[in-house]
Amino acid sequence: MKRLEVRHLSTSFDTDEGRVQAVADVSFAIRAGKTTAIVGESGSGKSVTSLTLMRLLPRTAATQVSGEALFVDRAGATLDLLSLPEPRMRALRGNEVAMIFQEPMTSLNPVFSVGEQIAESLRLHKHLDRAAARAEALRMLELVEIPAAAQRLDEYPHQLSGGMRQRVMIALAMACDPTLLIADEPTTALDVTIQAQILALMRRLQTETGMSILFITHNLGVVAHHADDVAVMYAGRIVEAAPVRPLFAAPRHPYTQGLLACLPGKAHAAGQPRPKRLFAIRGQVSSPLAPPPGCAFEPRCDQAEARCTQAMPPLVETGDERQARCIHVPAAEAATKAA
Amino acid sequence: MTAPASDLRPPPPQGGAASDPAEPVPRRPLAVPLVLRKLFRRRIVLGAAIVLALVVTLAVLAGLSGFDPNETAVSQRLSQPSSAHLLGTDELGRDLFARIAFGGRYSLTIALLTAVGSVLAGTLLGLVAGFFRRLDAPVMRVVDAMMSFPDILLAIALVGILGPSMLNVVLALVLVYTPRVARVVRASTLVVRELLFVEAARAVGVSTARILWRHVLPNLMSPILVQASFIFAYAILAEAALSFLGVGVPPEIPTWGTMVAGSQQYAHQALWIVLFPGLAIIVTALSLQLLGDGIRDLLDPRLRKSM
Repeated sequence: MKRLEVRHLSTSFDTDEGRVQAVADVSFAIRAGKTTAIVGESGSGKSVTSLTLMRLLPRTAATQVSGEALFVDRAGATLDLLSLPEPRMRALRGNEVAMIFQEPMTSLNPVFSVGEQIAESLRLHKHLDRAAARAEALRMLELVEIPAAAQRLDEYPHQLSGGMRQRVMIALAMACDPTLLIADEPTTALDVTIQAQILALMRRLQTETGMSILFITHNLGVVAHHADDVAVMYAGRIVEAAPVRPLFAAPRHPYTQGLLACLPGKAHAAGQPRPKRLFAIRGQVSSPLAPPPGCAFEPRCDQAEARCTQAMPPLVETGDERQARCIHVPAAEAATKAA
Repeated sequence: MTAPASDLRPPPPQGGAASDPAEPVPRRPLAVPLVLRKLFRRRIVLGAAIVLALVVTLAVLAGLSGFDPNETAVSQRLSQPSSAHLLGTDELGRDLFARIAFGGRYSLTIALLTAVGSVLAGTLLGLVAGFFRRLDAPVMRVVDAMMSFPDILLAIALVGILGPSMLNVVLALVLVYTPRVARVVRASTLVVRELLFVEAARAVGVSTARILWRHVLPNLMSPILVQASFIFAYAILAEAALSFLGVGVPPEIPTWGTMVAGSQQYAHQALWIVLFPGLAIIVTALSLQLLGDGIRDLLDPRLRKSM
C-alpha cells in the first residue's frame, strides 16, 4: 500500500530576478511502513519538496505549486495534501504527518520547557488535559531514550545537547503517532556517533509504529542503510528513482554514478578500480534562473554529447521498478544492460 | 558591609583549601532569585531600584496617611525646610513633603498607565506588522507618520484638543509612545518569525493565532520589558513638561509637574519649592532609566550566554 503518492509536483517562486523553478514534475511514492529517501546536493529542491508537502512554504514568497500528493490517512481515506483546506491541513500536521528538521538547536522554542512543547502537540491533536499531556510527554521522552526523562521534562532547550534536542524533536514529532514522518536532514547537524544513534532510534520507532518515513538527505551512506526506495534529485527534478539495493549496485544516471563515485570506498565495492584520488563531480549546479537548454546535468556530465543540449530527457521507466532521466538509458531494455 | 559579615564566622584558616568550596553552600543569607542577583550585580542598578522603591512607598503611604496635600496655612507660606515642614512650604503654606508624596501618586500613576497602555497597543501593532507581511507597510507608515511629530508637540496638540485631565494626558502620552514600542516589537518579530521553531510549531499543526501568542510573543518579552521601563521614565518627564506648560493635568491636582509650574514665580524667594519637585522628577526618571539599562543588559542575548 502506498502511504503517500506524489504526482507531478512542481513548485516555483517569484523572485526579483525572475521565476525560479525549485521543484519540477517530481513524482514518487512512499509505501506504508517503508522509507523513501530523496537524495541530492544543496539546491536540488529536496527541502522545498518536503516543505511543499507540509504546506509550510513561507506565504510571503509568491509561490506556485501544482501537482498532487495523495496521502492515505489512518482511516484509509485518500487526501490530496496540496489541495486540502488549511484547517484540515492543520489538523493533519503533527498528527498524521509529522516533520523533524535539520537544526535541532533552533527548532525548539527557547522559552518553554521541552515537556510543555511536546504537551502542546498532544493537547492540540489528542485533546488531552494538562496532566495527561504531561504524562504522555514523559512517556515520549522515555520512548526516545532520553536518560532521566522525568527531570528533562522541565528543562529548557538550552540545557540540552544537540543530540538530546534532536531526540526531543523526534519525541515531539512522534507524540501523536503519525503515519508519515518527514525527516529533513535530521542528522546533518549532529556528530557522527550521535547520527548513528538517532538513525537507529528512528528505525526502531518505525518498526514499532509502522510509520512511513520520507527521508531527505545528502548522505548516501545513510540512504544505503536506512532507505527502502531512493529518488535522486538534481536541479529540481528526479533524475533516477529505484529501490535502494539495485540503485547502489548499478546506478544508471551519470549523476548517480558520479555521486556514488564520490564515496571513498564505494567505487571500489561497485567493481571499479579503487580510485587514487577522491572523485568529485566537476562544476557546480547551474543557476535556477538560467537553466541549461537541455539536460540540467549536461554541463557537468562526462558522457554528454551534442543531443544532450537539445531537450530535457524524459524520466523513463527502465523496468524493475526503476526510472532514469538520461538519453543514455533507454526505456525498458536498460534492465538487461545493467546486469 | 564585609566587616560585620566576617565577624560571624571564624577567620578562615591559612591554606584551609578543604573548607573553602563547602563554605558558601550552608550560609546563603537570602534566597534572592538568580535573575535579581544578576540584575543588582551593578551597584548603580541596585541603587536605582532602592530609590524607586522608596518613591513608590512614599506615594502609597501618602494616600494611606489621611494627610491633606491641599491644606493651606498662609501664615507659614514660603517657610524654609525645618523640622515642622521637612521640605518647607509653598506659596500657600502647603507642606511640600506631603505634596511631593501625593504628587508622586499622580505622576507615577500617569506614567505607569502610559507605559502599560503604550506597551499593549504598541505590542499589538508591532506583532501584527512584523508577522503579517501584508499589514506591515500600512501599519508602519502610520506609525512613521506619528513618529515624525516631535513628542511633546504632539502631546500638547492632543491634550489641547481633548482638554486637560489626567485621563487625557495618559491618552495623549499613550498615542505618543505607542509607535516607539510598535517599531521595536515589529523589528524583533521580524527576527523571531524566521526562527525555525516557529516553522516547527506550524509543522505540529499550531494555528497562527496560537503561534503569535504562545511562540512569538514570549520571545519578545525582553525588548518589551526594556521599552516599558524607558517609557515609564519618559512619561514622568513628559507629564511634568505638559503640566509645566499648562496643557497637562489641571493645576489643582498635585503632580510634580504642576508643582513646578505653579511655584515657578516664587523660585527667586524660595528655591526649595521648585527644587524639590524638580529633584523628585529627575531622581525618579533617572532611576527608571538606570533600571531599564540594567534590565536591557541582563536580557541582551549577547550577555545571556553567561546565564
